[in-house]
Amino acid sequence: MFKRLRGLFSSDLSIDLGTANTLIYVRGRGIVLDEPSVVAIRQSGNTRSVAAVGADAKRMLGRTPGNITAIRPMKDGVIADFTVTEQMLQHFIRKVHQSTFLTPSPRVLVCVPCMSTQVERRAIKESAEGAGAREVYLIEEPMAAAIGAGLPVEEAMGSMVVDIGGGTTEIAIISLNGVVYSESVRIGGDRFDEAITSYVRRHYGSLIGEATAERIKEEIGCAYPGGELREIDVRGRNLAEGIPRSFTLNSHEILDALQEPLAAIVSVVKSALEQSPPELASDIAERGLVLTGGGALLRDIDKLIAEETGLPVIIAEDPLTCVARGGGKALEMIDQHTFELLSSD
Amino acid sequence: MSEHQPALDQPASDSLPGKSLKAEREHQGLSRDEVATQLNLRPSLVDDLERDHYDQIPITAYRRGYLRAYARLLCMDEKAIVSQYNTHFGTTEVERHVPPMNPSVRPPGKMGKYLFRLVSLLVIAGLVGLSYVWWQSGDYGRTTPAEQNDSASADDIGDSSDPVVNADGSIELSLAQSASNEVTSTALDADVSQAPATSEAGQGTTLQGTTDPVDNQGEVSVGEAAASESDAALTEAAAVPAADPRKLELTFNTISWTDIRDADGKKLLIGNNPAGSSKTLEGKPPFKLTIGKSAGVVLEYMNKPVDLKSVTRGTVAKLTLGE
Repeated sequence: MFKRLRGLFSSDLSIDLGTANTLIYVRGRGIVLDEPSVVAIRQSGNTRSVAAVGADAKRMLGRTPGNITAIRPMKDGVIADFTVTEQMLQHFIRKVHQSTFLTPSPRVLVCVPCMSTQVERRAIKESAEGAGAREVYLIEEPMAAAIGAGLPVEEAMGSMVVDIGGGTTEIAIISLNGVVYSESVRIGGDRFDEAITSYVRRHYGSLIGEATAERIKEEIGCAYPGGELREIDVRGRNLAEGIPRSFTLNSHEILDALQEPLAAIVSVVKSALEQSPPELASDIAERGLVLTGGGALLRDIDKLIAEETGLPVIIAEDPLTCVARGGGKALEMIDQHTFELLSSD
Repeated sequence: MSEHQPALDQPASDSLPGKSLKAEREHQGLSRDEVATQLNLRPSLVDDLERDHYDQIPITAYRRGYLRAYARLLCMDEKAIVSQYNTHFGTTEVERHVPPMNPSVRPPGKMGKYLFRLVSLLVIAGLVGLSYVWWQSGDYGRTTPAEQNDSASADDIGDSSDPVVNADGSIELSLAQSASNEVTSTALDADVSQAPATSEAGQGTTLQGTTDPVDNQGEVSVGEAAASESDAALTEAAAVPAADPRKLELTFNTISWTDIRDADGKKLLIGNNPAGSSKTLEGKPPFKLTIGKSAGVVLEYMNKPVDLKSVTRGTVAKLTLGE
C-alpha cells in the first residue's frame, strides 16, 4: 500500500539499453537522455572506479592510458559486463531522476532483444533493479520500435518492423498487441564498423579505430549503388610502415565493404516474410515494412530492402528514438490495461 | 541538380504536399507508374498521395512514411513535405476506435492523481500537527502542577489567610507569623485534619492564615487566628510531630523517582512515587538523597523545608542531610 502510495509520486522511465547508445524517455518529458553506452573504468591497485560514463567515456575509447579502460558493457544487445552495466544505468537514472522522499525510485521499462535468453533478460532486469528501479518491466525491442513508429500494433492487421540497432537487427511481425513472428541477428551498426575497418586494412594496409570507422559510416556510408559519390579523408596507422598515413575513401568502396552485413540483414528480412502467415503477409505487402534504429539512417538502406523484397519500405520518423518512445507509450498502455505483452520474467 | 532548384523553391508551407510532389515529378519528367514501381506502391496510391486523398491510408505513420519516401525519390526536402502535411492535416494520430482489452479497471485520471497527492500530503501534515499538539499538551499536563505548586507556595507566603485549594492529596498548613513573615509549614495527613474550609478539589486543601507563632516543640499546636475576620476557623488543632533527626518527610506534587539511603546504606525509598503521595521515612542520619523532578517535591527535615533548588542540577537534586 505504501509502495503504491509512493508510486504516485514517482515518474516512469523507458530505457532503450542499446549496444551503441542508451536512451531514456520520461513520461511527460520526452527523451531526456541520449548517450553512448560506454563506461571508462579507472583501475588503481585492486580497486576499480568509474572514471566517466556516456559521451565523456566515448571520447576516451581507444585513447586511454594503462590504468583507464573504456569499455562498452553491452555486446550484441545483451549485457557483457554486469557490474559495469549496473553502474552505467545507475549513473544515467540518477542523471534524469533525483530520488527524494517525495519522488521515490521510478518504474522502469527496459527494452530487450527478442531472441535474448532468459538468463540475459534476468541480467538486464537485475541490473536495472540494482541501479535503483522500483519495478522493472521488460519489452521486446521490435514491439517498442513499432509502437514508437506509430504502427497500429493493437489492430488485427500485420505490421512489420525492422529495427537495425548497434548490436542486433530485430525483425518482427506484429498484430493485436502480440509478436506473431520475430527474428534477431547479431548484425548491426557495430558489424558495419568492423566491416569498414577490415576493408581498410585489406585494401589500404592501414589500421583505423572504432570511432573513425563509425565516422566513415555516418558520413559516406551507403547501402545501394547509384547515389551521389562522396569522399572522406581518413588517417590510419600503416601496417607495413608503422607510421600514420592519410588516404581517401569513397562511398562506392564503403558500399563494397558493407555488402556482407547488408546481405545478411536482407536475407533475414526475406526469411521473416517467408515465415509470416499469408493474411499478415498480404497486409505487409499492402502497407510495407518500417525501418527503425540507427541502421535506418544508413543512406539508401530503404532502397536496398525495397529492391530486394519488392515491398514499400518506410523509414520511421526519428528512427534513433523509436524504441525509447515506444517503451514510454507502452508504460502508459500498461496503466490503461490495454497492453499485456510485457514479459517480466 | 541545378534543374531541381526551381521546383525545390516551390513547396511553401501553405501548399498541399501532394501538389508539390506532383509538380516536382512532372518537372523531372517521371510518370506516375515509374514512381509507383520505384516505391513499390500501387499507382492508385501514388495518385491519391498527389491528390492529397488519404482515405486509402488510414494510418498516419504510413501516410507520412510514403510522403517522405516519395520526396526522397524526387530528391526533395522530405521535412518540408511532412511539415506541409502537418500544417493541413495535423500532427496527431487519427483516432481509431480500438476496444480496450480489459476495460473493467480504470486508473485515476491525471487530475485525480494530483488531487490524491494533495489529499495525502494534507493528511500527513495534519497527522504531524496533531502529534505535535498532543506531545506539547502531554508535556504541559505533566509539568504544570509542579510549577503551579511552586509559584503558589512562593506567592502565598506571607499572604493573608485566604484558603487555597491545592490539587495534591495532602493538606498543607502554612502558618506564618504576621509580624516577621517567618513561615512554618506543617504537613498534616488528610485523615487527621478536619479542614473546615470549603474544599473544591475534594481531596486536599491548603489553608494558610495569619497565626501566632507556632511552638515547634509542642506535640500539638493550635493555630490561633490573630484578630482577623478572614480566618475561616483555622483554630483547629493540628498535630505537629517532634523534630526528629531520624525522620524525613517527602511530599510529591509530581511523579518523581527517588533514591534515599541512610548512614548504614539501608534503602529507605527507591523507585517512582506517584503525584499527590507523601512519605515519612525513618533511618539513621546522615541520609543520602537523590530526587528526580525535584521542583515538584517538598522535602522536610527536622520540621523545616529543605531548599532543593540549590542542589538541583537539571531536574535531579542530590544532597546529604543530617551530617
